Amino acid sequence: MKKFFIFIAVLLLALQAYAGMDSVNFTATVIGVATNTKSYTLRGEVEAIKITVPTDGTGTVTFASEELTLLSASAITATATYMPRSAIHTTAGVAIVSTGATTNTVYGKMPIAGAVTMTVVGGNEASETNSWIATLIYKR
Amino acid sequence: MNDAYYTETGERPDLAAIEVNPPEGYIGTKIMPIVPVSEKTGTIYYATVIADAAAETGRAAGAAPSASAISDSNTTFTAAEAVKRGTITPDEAKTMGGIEKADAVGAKWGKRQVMNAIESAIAAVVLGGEVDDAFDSAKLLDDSQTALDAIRLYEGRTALVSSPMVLKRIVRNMLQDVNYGPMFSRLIAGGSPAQAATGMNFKSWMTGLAMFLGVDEILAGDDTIWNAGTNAERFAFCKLDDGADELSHKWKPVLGKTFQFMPDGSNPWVIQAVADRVNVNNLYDAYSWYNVVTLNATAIYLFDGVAA
Repeated sequence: MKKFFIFIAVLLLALQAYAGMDSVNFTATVIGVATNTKSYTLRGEVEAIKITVPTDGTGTVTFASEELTLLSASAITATATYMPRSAIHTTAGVAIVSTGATTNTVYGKMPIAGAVTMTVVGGNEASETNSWIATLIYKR
Repeated sequence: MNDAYYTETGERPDLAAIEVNPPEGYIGTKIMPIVPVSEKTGTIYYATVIADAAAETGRAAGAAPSASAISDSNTTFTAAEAVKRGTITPDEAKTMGGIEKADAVGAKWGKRQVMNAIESAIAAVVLGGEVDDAFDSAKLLDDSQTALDAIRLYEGRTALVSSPMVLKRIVRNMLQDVNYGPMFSRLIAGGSPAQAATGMNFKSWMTGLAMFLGVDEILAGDDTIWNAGTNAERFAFCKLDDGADELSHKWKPVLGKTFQFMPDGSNPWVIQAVADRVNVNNLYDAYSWYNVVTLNATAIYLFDGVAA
């Protein structure tokens, strides 16, 4: 039992050492083509966003922080997991590109440090009510 | 199904007098205490926070000090009916050990459903209102002070009100926070593993959270009411009137009161029992009349967005 107590204490004190992955579920219910939003205050880097499309549902789902659009998926009809990345910039504010045989924009993970809002715009018949669930996976 | 298993029809003060212990987590009347009233409607005079005015300095000799009027506000209440009917068949009454026992079971069940309604009505007032801020685990210490500053002029003990589920999420989020996490865990755990172990139960975490945020008390309401519907993911800072004086709202600015009609002047419950021989059943109706009235809406500071 004593070892257990020691383990718990060590675990508590070591929490900061393994600040890692976490996830938050956003839910929004829309009727017909109505719009609904849900916000949470989160800090970290976006890893992935899974959007669970309700049965027979269709719509547009946007995730935005206070500074950036994290994901904007239009007319989606099937559940999918997205790994959105954005172009990263030089200190001069220019998008970084890698040059070689072809020129490619370099993408990186997006930071979040404030309110993250999911906006769902329904695309169904007026009488239809759909509950959307999206899971935002992020690194604290 | 003989006569012995049918109840006595009529209003039943004996059943209305049976005490029903509220389930653990029914915190509503601690926040909005009961005010018994003898009429279903009426006018309430209540105190508000009178805005501060600068004290006068350098008054000329002989001149009257400038005055600021201090007065009560008023509003009305209408105690509306809440009723629930429970039924117990004569066969079931026999199983329960006789009609006296069945009477008590039926009356208590009906009363508890109405108590649920009162608790839900208070929860809707406390957590269902306009949100003041979004929960941010990295800024909770600052944000909580903003909340406490906002309600500082109201009287009573400061309290953090929510549901156990949301409170545990707050603790989890704070422990995961790189800045507050170590500080918070040490606050709870103390310096030795043994103290850490004592800090692991829910009550200890709540005590620690109260200490950390500088509130007098933490009230954890039943999850099925305080973490349901609009109330979900929310918590509030508010002031608790001690409820010692039913009329305290007349001279102290308090959040609000639950006005409950007393039909006979002393008991808020009416229980009516019916021996229904047509449908071969015993009916138990529990009635109460109440109105949860917010008197000072700004005596509460509401947070939303404690994610699962």
